[in-house]
Amino acid sequence: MLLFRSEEHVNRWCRQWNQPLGAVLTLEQGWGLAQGWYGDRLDLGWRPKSETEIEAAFAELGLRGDFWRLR
Amino acid sequence: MHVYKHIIETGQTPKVARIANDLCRRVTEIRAALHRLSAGHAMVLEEGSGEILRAAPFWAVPTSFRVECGTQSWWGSCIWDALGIPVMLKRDADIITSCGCCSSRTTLEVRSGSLVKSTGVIHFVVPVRRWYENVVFT
Repeated sequence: MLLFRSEEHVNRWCRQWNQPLGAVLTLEQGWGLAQGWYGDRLDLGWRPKSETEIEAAFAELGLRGDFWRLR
Repeated sequence: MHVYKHIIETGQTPKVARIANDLCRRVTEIRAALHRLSAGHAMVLEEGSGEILRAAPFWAVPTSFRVECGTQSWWGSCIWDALGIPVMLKRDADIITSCGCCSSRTTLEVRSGSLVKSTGVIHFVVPVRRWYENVVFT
């Protein structure tokens, strides 16, 4: 999960390293993922998310489709 | 929680022997607990030594994702984890990283719980269900 200057640089990296184009997120979506995963990590009641919760968190950020399915 | 406390205070992941000593437990007990956490993907352990490589979102060794909070710093394993460190600590931070393609350096700024003055996009190459087949590559 890397940061790139632009989608053009993502495409260039994919060609250079012979990797498929996966999913390109805005920084805001990445920030949303960070908040969803780590915002409560130091809480004493923290527990790992279930698969259903993870898929729901992805969907809330607009991350839908086969790429984002766990099952 | 003890592992996180150590990392947050020192910037380094604790060794298994140190955790055992701190918690007055046997090394074998600590190794078993770390393996359970690893099985649940909360941690990644080094092959062979069994020492902590990743206690999400922290990475034990230098990476391309350095997170600075005042005089302290940590390493994230990827951009998601690097963003997660200031979120977890609820602190302002600079995330010093670079473009995965051209290596141009960039700094993402986290201030008062928001990402500011930051540009770029994030690329996930591996579909979610395959993330843990090779977590280092992911």
